[in-house]
Formats: sequence, C-alpha cells, structure tokens
Amino acid sequence: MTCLEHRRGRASRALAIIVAFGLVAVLAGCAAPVQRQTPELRREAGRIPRIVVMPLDVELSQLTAGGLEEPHAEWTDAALKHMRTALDDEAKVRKVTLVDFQSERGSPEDRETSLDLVKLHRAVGSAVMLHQYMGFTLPSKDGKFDWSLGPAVAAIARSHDADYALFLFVRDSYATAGRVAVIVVGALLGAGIPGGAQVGFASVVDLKTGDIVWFNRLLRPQGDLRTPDAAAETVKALVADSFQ
Amino acid sequence: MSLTRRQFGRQFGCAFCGLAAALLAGPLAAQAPASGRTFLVPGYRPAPASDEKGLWSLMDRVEQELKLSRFVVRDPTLNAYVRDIMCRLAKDHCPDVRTYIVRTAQFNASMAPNGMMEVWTGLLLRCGDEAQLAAILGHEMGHYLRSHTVERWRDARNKSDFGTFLGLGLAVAGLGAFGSLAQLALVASSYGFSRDQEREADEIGLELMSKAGYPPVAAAEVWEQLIAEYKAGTAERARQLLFATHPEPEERMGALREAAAKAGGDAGERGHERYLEKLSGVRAQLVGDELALRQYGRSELVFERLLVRWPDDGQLWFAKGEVYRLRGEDGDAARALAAYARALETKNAPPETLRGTMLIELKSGARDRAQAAFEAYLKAKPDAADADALRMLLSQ
Amino acid sequence: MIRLCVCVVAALALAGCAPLVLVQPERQTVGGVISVQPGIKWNKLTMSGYRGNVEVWTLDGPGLNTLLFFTGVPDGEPLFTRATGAAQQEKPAVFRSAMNPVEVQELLEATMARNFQTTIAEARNLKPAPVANGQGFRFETRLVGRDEVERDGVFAGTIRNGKLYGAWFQGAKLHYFKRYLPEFDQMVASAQLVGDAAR
Repeated sequence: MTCLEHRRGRASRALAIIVAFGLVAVLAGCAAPVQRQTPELRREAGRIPRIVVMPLDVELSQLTAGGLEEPHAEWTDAALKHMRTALDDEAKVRKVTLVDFQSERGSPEDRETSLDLVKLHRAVGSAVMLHQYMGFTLPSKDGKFDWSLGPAVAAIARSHDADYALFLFVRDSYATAGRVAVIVVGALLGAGIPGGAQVGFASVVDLKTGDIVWFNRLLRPQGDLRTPDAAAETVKALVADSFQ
Repeated sequence: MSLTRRQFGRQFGCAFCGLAAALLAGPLAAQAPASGRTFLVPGYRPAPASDEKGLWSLMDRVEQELKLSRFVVRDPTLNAYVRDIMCRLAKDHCPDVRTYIVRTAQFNASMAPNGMMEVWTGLLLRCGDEAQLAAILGHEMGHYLRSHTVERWRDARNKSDFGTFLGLGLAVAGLGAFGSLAQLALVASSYGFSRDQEREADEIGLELMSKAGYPPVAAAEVWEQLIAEYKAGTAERARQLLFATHPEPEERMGALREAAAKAGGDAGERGHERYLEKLSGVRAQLVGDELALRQYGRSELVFERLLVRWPDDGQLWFAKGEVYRLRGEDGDAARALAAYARALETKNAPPETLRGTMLIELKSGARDRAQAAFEAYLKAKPDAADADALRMLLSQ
Repeated sequence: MIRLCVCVVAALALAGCAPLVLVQPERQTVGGVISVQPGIKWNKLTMSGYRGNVEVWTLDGPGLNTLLFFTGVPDGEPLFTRATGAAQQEKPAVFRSAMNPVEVQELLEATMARNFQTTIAEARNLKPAPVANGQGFRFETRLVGRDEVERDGVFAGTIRNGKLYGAWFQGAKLHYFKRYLPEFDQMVASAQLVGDAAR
C-alpha cells in the first residue's frame, strides 16, 4: 500500500478501512449488476441449449459469540438443495436443459482440465467482483467486459455435450443473538460483512469460446437463504435473465 | 467474510499449534495414565442434530476439497505405508481414519474429528525412522480418541472475546485467488490444545506406540530434534512461537523421556531401513522443497542429523552441499565441495551433485574442473533439462 | 447514491491512492531505469503488496496476470517481498552482484516458494537472450499458489553494474498467460536501460 504508507501509521490505516467500507457499501449501488454480452443463448435449429451446472459454490456461515464466522454445514446443505430445485424450475420455464457437472466424466485429460477450470473460475469471479463491481476498475479495459475462461472449456463441452456452463457463488452469514458487526482489519481490499448480509454472483460461460457471456451480482439481501422461498428468490434474481 | 472451508478447518486441526503448546505445557505427570478414560467408540457418528454433527459435516467438506488439491502427495507406496502405521496404532479405529500426505515443507500433522488425518511432507523429511513417525501419529490419535478438537471448538465458539479471531475474518468474500489476502487470513491460531489435553495425548500416544511394538522413547526424540532445529534458526518470531512462555521446553523433554522409559523405553521396532525405502519415491522432492526455503541453519541441522542415521546416503550429502552452495558465505564453497565429494563416494549420489560441483568450481575460476564436472553430469543425466543453461555458463 | 460514489472515488484519487492507473501504449519509463514500449494498454498497480525494487502491472487483475519489473535490485536485497505472514520464516534469499543466470533462476524459485507459500514453484529452460542492447538471459516459471490455480511465467533480464534489471510476466496457465505472451515478448524487445542504469 505505497500511497497510504506515506501518511502516518495507524490513523491512515483506520481511514483506509473506513474508506474501504464506504467504498464497498456505496459502490454496491454504482455498477450495473448484470453484464450481458450476448442478447440470448444460442438456440441452433432443434437444439435446446444444454447448460452444465458447475458445483454450486455456496457457503452459509454463522457469526458466533466469539466473532468467528463459522461455516454451517446444515444451512449450506439446505440452501444448496433449495437453490438446485429453483434452478430446475427456472430451466423448465425458460426451455433450457440443465446437466449436473460430474467430475468423473470425460477423458482423464478433460477431467483434469475441468477441475482446473473450476479453480480458475474462482479466480476470474474474484477478479470480476473486484475490478468490475468493487470500484477497483482496470482502466485498460475501457469499460469492456471481456472476462473469459479461455478455449480450454472445450473439455467441459466435450465431456458433458453442453453449450454453456453456469457457475453460482454465494456467501452469507447470519449473526447469532447479540453479535455486532465483524470488523475487518488490515486490508484495503478486504470487506467485512456485517451479520446478515450476502455476497453472490452467477456467471454463464459459452463453452464454444470460454467467454463469460453473462454475469450477475447479488445487489441486496434476498432474505434468509436457509428458507426455500428466499433461496428460490436468490436463484431467480441471479439467473433467470440468463436463461433467455 | 467467511474463510475458505480449508482455512477454517486448519485452525481446528493445527497440530503444530498443538505441538508448540505441548512444549509450553506443564511437566508431564510422572504417573501411570488414568484408567477408566473413555475413548471414542469405533464407528462413532455424532448425533444428527448435535453441534458436533455440524463440525463433522464441515470437515467432510474440507476433506472433499483436500482430495482435489494439487498439494496432496499421491505416491501409492508412501500412502499405503503411512496408512499401515496409522492402522497399527489405531487398531479397532483403523476403518475410521483416512490419511492424506500434503506437500508442505513444514513440520506438522493434524487430525480432524471426522477421522481425516493430514501429514505434511516437512514432517516426513525430519523423522529419523518409522518409530518417530508413529510417535506423531499416536499423539494425534490421542487427541482424536478423546475428542479434544470438539472440546476446543466448543470453547472457541463460546468465547466472547472477538478480538482473537479478528485476523481470521479476512479473505474477500471467501473468494480465493488474491495471494496476499488469502495469506493474511491464515493467521496462526491461538487456540492450541490445553496443557491437560496435550498431556493426555502424549500419554495415549505412548501407550498406543508400545502396544504396536514401537519404542516410546522415539516420542521424546522427535521433540528434542524440533527444539534443536528451532534453536538453529535465526527467525526470532519462529523461536518465540515455540518458546513463548515458561517452562523451559527442555524440562518437558526430560519429563517425556521419563514417561517414555516407564512405558517401555527403548524396546521395540525402529523400522529404520523400511522408512527410508518407503520414502524413496518422494525424498528427492522433500529435499528440494526444504532447500527452497533457504533456511540454511535449520536445514543444515536437519540433514546433519539424518546423516548420523544414514551416513552413506548420497542424497543427504548432496542436500548438505546444496545448503552451503546456496548460502554462499565465507568458506561455504569449500564446505559444499567436501559434501558433494562425500556424496559421490556413495552408491546413490544424485546426478545434480555434479551440477553443484560444476557451479562451485566455475565460481572459483576452476574452469577445467567445472568442465569435467559438467561432462560427468551429462553422462549421469543425458536428458538434463538445464544442459543448455550450464553450457552457456561455461562458454562465457 | 451515485453522487456519493463518485465523491468517494474522487477522494481516493485526490489522495493519490487510485489503486490502478492506466498505462498508455506509448514509450514508458519504469522506475526511472527501464524504458519499454507496450503495444496495448496496461494497468499499473499503486498498491500491489509487493515490496522492493519492483513495479507491478496487470491486464486482467493481479489474480489472473502480473508483470513485475525489476528496476535495479542491488547486491544484498531480495528480488521482492510480500506482506504475507512470511515474517516467521528465516530472512529471505538475496541477490548478489556476482550471481550468474543459473543462480538468478534459482533465486526466483526460492522467492516464489517463500512469497506464495507453496512447494510447487519452479524455474527452468534458461537460455541466453539479448536484453536491453546487451547480453541477458531468459527462463520460464511455473507456480501453483494456495488458490490451486496454476500459473505460467517468463522472466527476461540482465545484470548491469552489479544490479538486476528485468521483467517477469506471469499468468494463469489457462488462457491468461498465453494470450499476452506476444505482448510481453515485444515489450522485452523494445526495452532499454536509461537513467542511472545506463551510466
């Protein structure tokens, strides 16, 4: 943090954190939540678009009395189940076929590439969130949205006979009674999430090119993701528009 | 934001924290282990709605992620070997335990409440024989059989001091990727096991070892070696981690030796040759990983100690030479050459010994000797990927 | 809401703290000593977390690719350090003026292992190469960090007047490295040492 280091120590760090908070909270409203690169999914003659649902990266956690954000397996399982159901419902309405990603499918090479792509998508998703939505804009992009996983996605297209891949990422935390906001120390880029807030995004990748053709970010809390209704609402808010 | 599952899981399985705490804990009770101690029953599963079930499920997820990690060592011989030792110690609990070898050049082993055990390669490098490895595994089994981790986890959840986990709340939205942020999140856990828990794990470990036919004194040796290594290091922070408060760890070592003597002392199988044989597929990699850390004092001590046990091991002599070559201080060139020469007298000097020799000779201006070493290197390793690079140096 | 947003960003910018600064595709001088001609727009990180005689650029964000310029690493200094909890380890390995290219390659390996806390860090395929109107060298790197993403890299550099000058481009092996390798190559071809380095 070279520029902030030139100021004097702790005061500037505190300022940095407050500014970071302000930045994150405020910029939540700044960037358009949905990035859509292509108007619609390809619907070649007679073929219903097949979308691979990649392993849903969802984690619900509990803020304990000790200030620990503790991943909560039961809540996460419930949310995953509800979200998957909601996805199926959306798919039926929008006339797309959803296929679960299966890591054992495909040649050994394709299998390994697919796993690497899942790991890559975490890094790409982080980059999109940071540089597209959280204000750390990459000026060289000139506002273009050109994020991609690259041509290696052909491995997934092959092993699952699919046209697109859907990634979903959700983090949510619920405070137990009596907890106040957890404050994050030390990193300008770190964002503490006060109890009850949510972070999430969904992306659709074109398996012909690897390009992210659709990216959506959760704007505001969608309610308690531990309940079927809120989970369904979250899925709708995240993906419905993408299945056109 | 929440940690990645693995980061979270790591806090509650960190045996190094436990090891450090063990050294700081009070003197080992010099009495027979209490009878009537309840162990986890074999095949144990936590009750469905219990808080423990939550921790268990979390660890299951951590394990699923671990299975896919690039850092898991998959050498079948080594894995089977570690699993067998584990099973000999665990007996009826053998089916409940799964071992994973993780490629990290630090001394650590940990066991999660769901039976997932991690052993780091830094530990495997440092063990002088099978008995020493069994000592660590036995100690971890002790924590597992007495559900210490669950106890500790419950404690941590109930503490109202949120400052402790402050540093762990980082990692932007749990999104990995940004190296520096992810690392910031991995602050050393301050929730080590309690002194009583460490004492108990030691006692159980010694029991399991002697029942499985290993000499319990190996447990004391491991600790002694670790202390000596940290003393040889210069990183003040690392030293503090180990010696932070009283009592003097040596006192504890004495107590551990005493308890070991009562539990069977030196009697038992060392598995000395077998250990070397089973590690042979990965040992070159472990040596390379240790050298990359560039902690010269500590590495020198580790290799010297191992050479006492295996005095004709060419790979260890090579490793010692590399420490000196990489450190490059006054007199190190001569030390390196001496170590390489000693390696070349053995049956299993790696070809890289000649590469090291060449580099040292070249630096001292002995071109002819460097050339000779280079040619010998190529002869020993015709497919050497860095042949062109070395040739380039010779031509300058 | 939008107004406040602009204000906050502007405040940061006024404080000189814009985290990412545009680099135009025209001749640039990095650290006062390396002159290069990028062919495309880049982004310079003002808060990169890297410490030392380095400057960091990126195209898609530091999680996906980075271009590290070494702007004259002197004898006795590490190539770079990062504020990432390596404090408990021993002192970092350092550059020495008398190093040969093989030793520089080994040094970057050790630097990667330490700063990215990984055992999967290697440098290989060292070859001589013309760099900045003089004799230099070049090698490839491979790194898997704690995020389990594999990264390919290439380093090109030279030792002049006892200091190390160079550039290390690294990117995710899938897509983000290969895509921009030609741009890196042409930048290296355009590189000159200027200022203090040229004396």
